[in-house]
Amino acid sequence: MLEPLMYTGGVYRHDELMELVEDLGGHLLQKNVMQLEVVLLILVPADDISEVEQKAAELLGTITRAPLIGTEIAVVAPSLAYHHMPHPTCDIAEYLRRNGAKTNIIGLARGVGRRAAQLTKSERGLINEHDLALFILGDFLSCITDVKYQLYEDLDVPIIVTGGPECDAVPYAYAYIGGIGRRAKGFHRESEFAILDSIVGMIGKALDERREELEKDPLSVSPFRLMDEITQQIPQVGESLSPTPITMHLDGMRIKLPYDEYYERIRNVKFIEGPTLSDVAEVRPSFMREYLILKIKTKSVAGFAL
Amino acid sequence: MIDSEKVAAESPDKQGARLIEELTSDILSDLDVAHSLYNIRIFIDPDEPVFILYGKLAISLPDIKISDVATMTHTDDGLKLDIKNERYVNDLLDKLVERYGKANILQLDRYTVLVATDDDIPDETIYEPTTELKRKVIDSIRRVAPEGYRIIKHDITEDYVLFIASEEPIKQEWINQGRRLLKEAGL
Repeated sequence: MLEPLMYTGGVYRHDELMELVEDLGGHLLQKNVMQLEVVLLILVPADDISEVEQKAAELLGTITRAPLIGTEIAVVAPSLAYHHMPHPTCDIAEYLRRNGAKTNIIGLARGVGRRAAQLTKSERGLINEHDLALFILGDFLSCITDVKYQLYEDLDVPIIVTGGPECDAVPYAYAYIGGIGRRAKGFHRESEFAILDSIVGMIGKALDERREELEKDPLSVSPFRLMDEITQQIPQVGESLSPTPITMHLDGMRIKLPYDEYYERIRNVKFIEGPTLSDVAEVRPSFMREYLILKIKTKSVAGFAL
Repeated sequence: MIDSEKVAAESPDKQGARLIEELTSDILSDLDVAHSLYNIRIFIDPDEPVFILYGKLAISLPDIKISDVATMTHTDDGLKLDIKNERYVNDLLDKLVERYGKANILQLDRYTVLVATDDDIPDETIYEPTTELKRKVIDSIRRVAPEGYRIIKHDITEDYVLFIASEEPIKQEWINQGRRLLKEAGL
């Protein structure tokens, strides 16, 4: 069992921590260097957390648990106009990032109003590539319960909806969190942070259920092992300017390389046990730019597990 | 008469009305129009769908004229303007360019402008704070109104603003309702 952690500390000697994580059989998912500070998103075997904490203390850094590491979450707003930005959409997305998630803010082309609210085909495809989608809706209960569910009723990923009014549940959504709605100010009060924490908690719960579901028919290869193989065999991944050249999903990943150019090479990544990547995962073009999406086959589909 | 200076919203959805009140106060103070627009009343019904906002406008600033910004003296090189208030220089230059053309205007330094003319410049208005304020008020109301309500009818005078927005073509009954509400408020 790997535990998701975030290390924050100085640049000096942080490579020692990275080496320790590798030695323990963990993974480094993301490294952000901001001047003299470094933030590492890591996965560490649960039994060895104390060793990592000890090393972090030695380096005068801090280790915090970041439950959303290794997931990509779509934060969907009805549009990118000032009615929804920067509060609350950007604030929520930033809070999820601080908890380790990779977030993408998606503004819909026709998300506003009642009459025309709908998803386009490409928007549906793009949102379905994520692990979970968080919809940021407005202040009126009748809009949220009677109309706006049309935006997410057809999606395959778990949906969490936020809005202004208090309400127990909304149709087609995994959960609803009230008390946000349309805002013209940031989140400053403790009670407002409690709402953000409840969003993180609810997302964590939904993702845990998804993980449990995956465990019933496990993936044919661990996504993190696959990531390491791809990084080693296709060094161009490391040359990407994106902060996360490989963005992890629960059951696959997004690789930020051009599909047409790298499709064959990715398919032919070899495992030491014999099979190639195409045996254990499906490679397809992403709706985001010209990236690649990898979906790992389950053990029952692939016929074996590595 | 409206006696409260707070925002008051009415809606069949009570929770929504309260949230819209809060949003309106935040947006108005954010965009610096909280002191110019007051006694605000909102009626919003998402099922209809209609958004009606009316409020009292306080416009007290006078128009800025050329004589408020610069003093004019005739010299051998032409008419010399000494800028007293630098804030309105751009508006002054725009006015001069419009009247005399760019070729006849020379800005020697931050505070001195020469105009190639022997006559006095008529003391015209160069900046209307009222226009700017009305623009800011309408901008802030558009931020309050739901984004999908793109069909808008508004009426803005020196004393009041009435703003009606909807997703559907504006119905006469909404305009009548707005007018009636204004009348009830004594505006």
